[in-house]
Amino acid sequence: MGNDQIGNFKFASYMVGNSNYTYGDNVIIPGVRPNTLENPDLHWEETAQLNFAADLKLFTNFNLTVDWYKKKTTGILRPVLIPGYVGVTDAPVANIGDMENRGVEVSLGYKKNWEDFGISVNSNFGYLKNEVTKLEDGREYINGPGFQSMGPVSRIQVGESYGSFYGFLNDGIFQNQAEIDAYKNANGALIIPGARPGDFKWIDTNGDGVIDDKDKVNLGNSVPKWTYGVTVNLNYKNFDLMVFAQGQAGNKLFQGLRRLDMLYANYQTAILDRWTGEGTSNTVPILSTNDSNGNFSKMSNYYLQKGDYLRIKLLQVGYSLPENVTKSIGANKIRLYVTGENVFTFTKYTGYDPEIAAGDDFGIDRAYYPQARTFLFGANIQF
Amino acid sequence: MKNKYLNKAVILTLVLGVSFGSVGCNDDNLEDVKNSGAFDTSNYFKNEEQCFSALVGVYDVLRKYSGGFENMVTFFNAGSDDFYSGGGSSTDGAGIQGMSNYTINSNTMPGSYWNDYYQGIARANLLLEKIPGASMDDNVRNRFISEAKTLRALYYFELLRVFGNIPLILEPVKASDDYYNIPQANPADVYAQIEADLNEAIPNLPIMATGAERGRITQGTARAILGKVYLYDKKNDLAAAQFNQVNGTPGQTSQYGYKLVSDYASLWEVDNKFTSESILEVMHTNKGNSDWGFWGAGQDEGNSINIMVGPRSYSKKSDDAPDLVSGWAFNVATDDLFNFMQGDPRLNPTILNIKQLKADNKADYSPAYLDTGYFLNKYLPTKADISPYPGSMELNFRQNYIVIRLADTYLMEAEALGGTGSRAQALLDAVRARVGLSSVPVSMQAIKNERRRELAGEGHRWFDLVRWGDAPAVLGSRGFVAGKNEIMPIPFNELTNTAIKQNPGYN
Repeated sequence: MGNDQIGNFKFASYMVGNSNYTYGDNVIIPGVRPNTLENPDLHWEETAQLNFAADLKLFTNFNLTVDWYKKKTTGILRPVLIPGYVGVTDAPVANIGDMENRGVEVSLGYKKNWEDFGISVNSNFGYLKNEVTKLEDGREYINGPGFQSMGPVSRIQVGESYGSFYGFLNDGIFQNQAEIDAYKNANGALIIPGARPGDFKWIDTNGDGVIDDKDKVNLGNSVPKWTYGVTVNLNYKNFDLMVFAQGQAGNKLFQGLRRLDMLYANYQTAILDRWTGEGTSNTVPILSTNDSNGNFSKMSNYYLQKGDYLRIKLLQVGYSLPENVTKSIGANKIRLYVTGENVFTFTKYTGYDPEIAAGDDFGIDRAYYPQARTFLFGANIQF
Repeated sequence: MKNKYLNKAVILTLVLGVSFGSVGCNDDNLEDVKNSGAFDTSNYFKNEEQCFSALVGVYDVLRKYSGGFENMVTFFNAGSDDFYSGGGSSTDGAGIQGMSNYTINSNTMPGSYWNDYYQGIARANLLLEKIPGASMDDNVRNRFISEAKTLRALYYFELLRVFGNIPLILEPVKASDDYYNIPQANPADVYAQIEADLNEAIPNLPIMATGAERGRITQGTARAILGKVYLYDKKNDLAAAQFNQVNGTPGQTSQYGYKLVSDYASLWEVDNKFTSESILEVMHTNKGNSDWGFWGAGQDEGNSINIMVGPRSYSKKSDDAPDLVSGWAFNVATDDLFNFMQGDPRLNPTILNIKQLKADNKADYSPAYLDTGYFLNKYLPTKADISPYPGSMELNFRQNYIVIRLADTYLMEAEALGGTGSRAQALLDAVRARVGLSSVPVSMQAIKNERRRELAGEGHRWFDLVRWGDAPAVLGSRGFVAGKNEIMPIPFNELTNTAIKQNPGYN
């Protein structure tokens, strides 16, 4: 994590165009403005890495590599969200803090050939623990990007994983007025006075008796903890088969497929299981034109889903024509094959594509265009 | 069997590695790479041409009144008793909807109402800091300084009356400054700064601007702004004195050339720009080829009120109906305003009763959110206004928006005079006489009624109600809470890691 892709000349503030105005003769006059704050102290991200690796070869047919690493990044480069009163249009880039990545990567291979039959399997498996260890100026956290009108939905916070989701936590849904009336603070006042049955019961995490921004808590991590992949090659006589599968686990994705500002924008069918009366649902709130409880407009665990998936990225079956047939038409080798890409995905995630969504730095799925499932029929002919 | 193999089959390699590195070529600061093709802020501002480009960048922010979805006019209309938010649904624009029913909070308050004005202020601060070093004529320099100070004052005034508690920043913020810890200023100090800026600016501004300079700040513009600021600052004598200079003899041409136009409705004719009644006017053009990607940003030159207030799915069925462009149905007028304006000659220029046109089978439209059938005629987009140039049809309407016009300063002067006396009476009479109405006895109530009718839909009513202290009574049924909703919640981003405190009543 961290990056060198920040664009050029980010240390300076430039006079940039497109701040135009027009006066009485109806001619647009190009105007200029300072684009950002200059930052003469900006420096490259620095990393220090410690590796401990072991290669083992077992029983001639097995290969095992274990690599344990600890990587410290100092001076993470990132555009920072600065207060609007500073008055610039572009976020300046700064060295915002330090983080540490610790992990293990294991790869295991197996290969063996018999007379008519050959097999080779290569698999890899990674575990990553990411932790922000320090932020500049002693700050506790920096807000990550927002989602539509919700405001920021994630944070870069000391002691947590980079880009953890932050929001409200619900403890199910108020099934009836009695439950709302019973949800009181130490002074006997209702914690959510305006709630109606079918609304989320927001947890007062800091126990101050009211629901406000201070009740936002870490809702999960956008960086996958586990990643894995496996490639299997099989051949039997003239047939060959290759399967490549990959996946990840231990991350959360923000399922942001819907436009919040359009009341009548389509929902997914999961909304059919919403709360419609006592006991009908404890996870999907009531659907109403007046969402005063912010069931849909507040960042909460409602929008987060597990990003775990296993995907068959590639599947290929080939058949090489027998030599006598090949030779008879003057070729050295003829192989016919069928390839499928993104053939199947095992996931509980309800967005379009957990792999693309996880490509977002902060795990916010803004309805990115999914990868296509493609099938190819082909022939290799060698003369 | 396994053990037997293990001894000879296991080859174990251990690798211990330590590496240090940095992304990029070396440990030096990024500054060592030079960019020779662009001006950084320190080597700009060398001559008049460069200073003028920077001044244009300060003017650019005037567009906030009427350009972009988050413009001042539709937003504050939506919070008044004259209009509802409207739009496609109750969630069409979280900010404007929250303004209309007073559920607005720091997350739904659009940050641009804060950020854009501060960007204008930052541009003015930079120009004011650098311009003394430019090689240029001193008269031109002093004029530029005065324009920048007037605009800075205007932007601070808007921030002050929208948010109340704001940081007062008068120099360019530098990266080395502790800019996360700038506190909010006492509103009285902000008023004092605004008034000082305007008083300093006035002597060096031109009396009038003509031809290609129409739209630039003049003495009359700065005095009208100053009078308005004094009025909000409850310095009524000072306000009346400024307005007196702007207005001159009621009904006559003033020293700055201002005069009420004879035809009220002509003020909203698209090509009738910079009339004698116009004191501060935002110029819009269709030549900017505005498109969705930069809507509301610096190169968007279109008027966005037009498309926002157009009825949805409109079709003309008879020659009696206007040839409107279908829009988004924001700012539908309330029954209350429609009833209040009955019998007034300004009703039809202000409100188009499309509900009636539909009932008479002269036109059709789709009623949208909170529909009343009454649309804001002053800014309705017509087919004839569609831009012939490239860019999005919706975003290239070219109607100017008049921020301050003479009828407004007449009524503000009458208000500053306490709503009594012969001059206040003459000012009120002049506004009424222009539309053929006879005199009514002047009083604060008469002035309030006149302002509501004369200026309906032009974005003033909400601020008027708050200034008069009438907002809780008039807007209570909409959800307005006294002691809270007189100012807006400070946008969420400003509260993060800063010394900014949220306004009372908001969280």
